[in-house]
Amino acid sequence: MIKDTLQSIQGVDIFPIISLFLFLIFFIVMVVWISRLDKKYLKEMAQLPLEPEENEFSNLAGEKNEK
Amino acid sequence: MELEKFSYDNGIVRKFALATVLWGFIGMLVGVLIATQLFMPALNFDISFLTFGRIRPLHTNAVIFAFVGNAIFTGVYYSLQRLCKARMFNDLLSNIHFWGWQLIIVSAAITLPLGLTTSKEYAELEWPIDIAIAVVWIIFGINMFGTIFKRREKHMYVAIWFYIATWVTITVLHVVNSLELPASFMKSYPIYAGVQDALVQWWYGHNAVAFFLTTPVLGLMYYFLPKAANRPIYSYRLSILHFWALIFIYIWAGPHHLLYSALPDWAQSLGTVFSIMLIAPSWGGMLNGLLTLRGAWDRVREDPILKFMVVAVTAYGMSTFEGPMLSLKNVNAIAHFTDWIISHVHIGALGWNGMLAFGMLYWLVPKLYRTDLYSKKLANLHFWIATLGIVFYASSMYWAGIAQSLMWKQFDASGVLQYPNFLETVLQIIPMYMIRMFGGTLYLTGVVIMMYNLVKTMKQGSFLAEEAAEAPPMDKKPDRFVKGLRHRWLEGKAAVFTVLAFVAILVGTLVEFVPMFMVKSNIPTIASVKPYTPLELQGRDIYIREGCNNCHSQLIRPFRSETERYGEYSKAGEFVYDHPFLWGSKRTGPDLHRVGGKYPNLWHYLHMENPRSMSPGSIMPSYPWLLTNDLDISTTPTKINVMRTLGVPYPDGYEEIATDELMAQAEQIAEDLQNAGIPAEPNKEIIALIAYLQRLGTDIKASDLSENK
Repeated sequence: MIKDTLQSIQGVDIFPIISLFLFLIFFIVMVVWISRLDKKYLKEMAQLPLEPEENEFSNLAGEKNEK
Repeated sequence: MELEKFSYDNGIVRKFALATVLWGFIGMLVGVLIATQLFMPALNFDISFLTFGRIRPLHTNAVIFAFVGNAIFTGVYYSLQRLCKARMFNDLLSNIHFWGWQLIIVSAAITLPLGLTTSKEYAELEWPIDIAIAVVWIIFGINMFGTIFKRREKHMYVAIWFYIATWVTITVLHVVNSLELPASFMKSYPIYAGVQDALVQWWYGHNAVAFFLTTPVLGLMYYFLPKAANRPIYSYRLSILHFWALIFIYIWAGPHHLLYSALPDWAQSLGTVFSIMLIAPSWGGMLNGLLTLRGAWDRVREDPILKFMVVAVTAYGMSTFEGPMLSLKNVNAIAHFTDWIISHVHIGALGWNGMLAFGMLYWLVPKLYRTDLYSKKLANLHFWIATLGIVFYASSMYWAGIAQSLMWKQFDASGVLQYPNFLETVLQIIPMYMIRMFGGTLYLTGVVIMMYNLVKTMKQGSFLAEEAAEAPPMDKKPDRFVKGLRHRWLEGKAAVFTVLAFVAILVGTLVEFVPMFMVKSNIPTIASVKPYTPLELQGRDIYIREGCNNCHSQLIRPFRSETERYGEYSKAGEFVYDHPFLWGSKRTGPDLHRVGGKYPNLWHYLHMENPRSMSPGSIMPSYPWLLTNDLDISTTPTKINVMRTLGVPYPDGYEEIATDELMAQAEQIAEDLQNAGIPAEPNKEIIALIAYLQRLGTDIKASDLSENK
């Protein structure tokens, strides 16, 4: 039965191959892309959540923030 | 540049945080109750609203959408405002989102125990609630994108990308999986049937885990872990890769929930291949989280918040490694339908989601209340008790799952099943069920300790509803365009970013769905497979209402151990009239696909009244109300009509004679029972259920199959 279902789709064996290639291309482009990113910019981005806020309170008893 | 003054809305953050804690407690309490029912069936109390089949979905929905859902919104509403340097787009929308979501949770808590369910896992809620979910979700989207568009910080931090991907994907998942045709207020049938319904459901189920329990929580990790550790994320580069690879690959892996099922082989293989590939981005993300703490591990020893987060990220790594392993066919053959899967999902739920939510709350509540945490000691106690709870929970379920699976597959020297009685394999793992309940109770105790600690913290601090802030307006100058297309350009363009994320998830969806739906007309119909009779259809709806599919599968895999135990393996063509499919995902009880004709009507009658009268030691709940409830036959014509609209070939005008046919079949069954000495009446629900059970799997006989060959 499963065989019948498979055969009823024309050229079904190409599907996994297409998906693999899609992913590989996607992945390679990604890696090339991010490897060319600017270091300074990456550093800036990573600092975004850490920018000082108006109300800096330490969150734990007995431990004060270093700021 | 001149600074603009504004304020952050902390009120909405507090509301979601309180809801997180409250629903977390309730959801886990229900979890402990159903865990206890599994070795103490008396705790079903013979009350329909409290039976396992009805409240197991309540547990899953409560922890996923109420506990984790509210935790996500807490974190999103807090971090999004800070990362965008802007107040939420609209306070009214924030509040509609909050109250709407809570209302949906309450309606789930009412309808699921009433048995109003679609039977599709994690999508059990009926169509009016589905619509409400869509509306509230879109309001959340407008509010989120509105905030993003009016932001003062040009670049979107990685956490925001995860929020965007979450919103886009959940929208698509919810709409596609909820396409259903109402038969009445609170009853509907999905437009898909059988194999296709199964594929859509597990595309949804898998990606609900991916895009509701994973991506938004990763967004929280990328924000709150650096916050708690007070240092930037280890590698921003890695986070970009993590994001794009994860959302691109995740969507393809759904079919791994259907290995060895009647789903075509190519789709199954696709699911496996992409599951294995998922290890790469998942572990990239985990390492990114853990390495953020490099050089600060001494603080992990001191700080319970970091402890929670380290265990969370580690659990994320463990379950994202285990998941791909479980999708290998040979591992899946052992693990599927067993408690191993229950263990796997709880590593994710208790470890990853729970611990990260707790860590976030311990960090956030003192912040909102401008004070210190009431007791670091209690937080540490919570941490250890929760970790211990997870260990008890997971180890007992691994043991139970593997032990039971091996017993199912064991043949003796003469080549017959060594444990032909399913119940024997259940009784073997009862002690493990007790240990699991103990582990769950420990975890819940931890939550109670946290509640106390947080309330005390709130009492000693003063809540800051409007947090004043200032920032320069967004710099509209375009970035200099060097070195081709760059991610920083993308991060300045929220709309383009959203479209790309949408395309990324769409590719996988289309490759899976297009062939499946092209096959629609081609699924080999088996000539002897006929639509259900009206009585069987009503019986099927009772099966759905009682949530039988939570413990019984209807899918016999092509293994000798299964065909010996249950009969001929299941074929795709047998399910063409099943709106919805009822394959199930867990065998707490035996498979029922070929139960038709296996026992006399009398057996079913007595078994439903009290399972222990027929199978001493059985852990199935009793269903005495089925024997006394009158069957509602007024719905029959509508149901026939709806089914016909969905493509089930009932002849024209059949709805007019359907009720008569129903009564005739019911009287036959009642008469058979009366002959056996049971004063059964034909108009009771039990009769319809028996009709359905006796029909199951009888459409094809081994002889039909050999003729077809």
